[in-house]
Amino acid sequence: MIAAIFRKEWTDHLRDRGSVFSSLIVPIIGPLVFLFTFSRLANSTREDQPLTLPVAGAANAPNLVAFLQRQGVIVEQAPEDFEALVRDGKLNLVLSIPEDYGKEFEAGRSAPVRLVEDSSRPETRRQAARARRLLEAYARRMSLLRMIARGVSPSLVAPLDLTDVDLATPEKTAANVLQAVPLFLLLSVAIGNARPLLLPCIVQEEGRSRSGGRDVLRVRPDLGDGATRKTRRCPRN
Amino acid sequence: MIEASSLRKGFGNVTAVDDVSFSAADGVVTGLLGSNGAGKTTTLRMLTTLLAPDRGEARIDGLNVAQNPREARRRIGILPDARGLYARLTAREHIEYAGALHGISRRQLSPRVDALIDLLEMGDIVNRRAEGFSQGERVKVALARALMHEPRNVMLDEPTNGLDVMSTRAVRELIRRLRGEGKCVLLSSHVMHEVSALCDRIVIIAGGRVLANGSPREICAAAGKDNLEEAFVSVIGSTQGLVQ
Repeated sequence: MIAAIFRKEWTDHLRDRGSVFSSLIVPIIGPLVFLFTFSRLANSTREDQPLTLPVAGAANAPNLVAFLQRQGVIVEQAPEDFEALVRDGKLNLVLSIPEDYGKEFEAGRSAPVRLVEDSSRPETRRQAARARRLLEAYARRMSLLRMIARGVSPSLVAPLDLTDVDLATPEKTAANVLQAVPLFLLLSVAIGNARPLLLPCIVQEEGRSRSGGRDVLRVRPDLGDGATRKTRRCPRN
Repeated sequence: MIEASSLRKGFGNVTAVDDVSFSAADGVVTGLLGSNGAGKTTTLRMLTTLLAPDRGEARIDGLNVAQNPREARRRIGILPDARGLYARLTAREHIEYAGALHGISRRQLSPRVDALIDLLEMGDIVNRRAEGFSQGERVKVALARALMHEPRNVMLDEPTNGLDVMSTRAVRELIRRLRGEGKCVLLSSHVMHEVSALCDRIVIIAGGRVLANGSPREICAAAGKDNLEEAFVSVIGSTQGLVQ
């Protein structure tokens, strides 16, 4: 009995090309789309691409600019109206070094630099974060040099020596995507396309969608529970 | 043998069947005649265990349907008004499936299916899928499915509805044949010609009540009319149901 129903349901639903197609396509294509989007996203956040940084007043801080260039930053001459360009979204960010930078720096005071950005743009935020990290590294290095020049050990102000060791390989990261497959299977069931995958539901669904089919099923001696199931259907004469 | 005694069924505020009693004997074709909405299908659904009556009793071969639904279902074959075919199964698969659900073994299945295919003259459609079937072909498949387990009692809801002349003749032929085999045939129809051409006994239903019950001759006599059509109009009090 169960076998007969199972056979019939399989035949019926495997012949329904539309739902077979979509029930297979969603779990297969879904993770691929997932993978594609995420690798695009990962690419855009990766930092092996050089940071291009327009600098206004590079001549005011040749030492800082040289440091940035050593760190792989492509330093460009910023246009005159860079603030307007950043506001309009034509430039991502600009490092502006005022004229009194050198004077303040030599006097041992905090030298002003300005990082001009539009933080509402995610792309800019990431680049600005990279630039900020480099600037902070430069500041750290300078502070160390100043301390050494004054005979203070730098390790006094660095109680921790933290190193991140990330052993993830690209393959392992990619394997994460496979974890999305079950999710998509569930999704496709929820969408209602994966009917062959969810046989017990079909009989019910069959009843809901085709009352005639249900009547025939329900008068089978061993299958139907007939009127014992509460049915409130409109009479059809 | 199909019996209804004082059946009643309401849906909310609507009383579909108010008080229906009749009996359909073996070897006799009994027709439920009534206009649309008279309560025919609801009555059939109660007799086929698909609906529980609010009151009254339905019996198949003397078995109370409410108490012995399984045994009752074994003894009936039904042709529902929505024929209920699976669009992607072939005619043969439909019939085989019905047989398998009734527990007919594979060995016995094949000859029975072939016999029904011959009987209903549907050899040309057996291996076609149901989605392209005409009304007549649909009825044939549904009939074959209803008869697969050789039930003693056959209930047909509007069996010739939507059929052309040839298919109608074939279905009538089959019904007479079933009667010849001593089966109890109960059919519903809103077409008087249909009922008068086929049925030995007629039960006229209107407003969920039985208005007349008997052979065509008895109904004519009771109404004091010469022909069934006049009798029907006089019994039912309107010309509804005469419209083809």
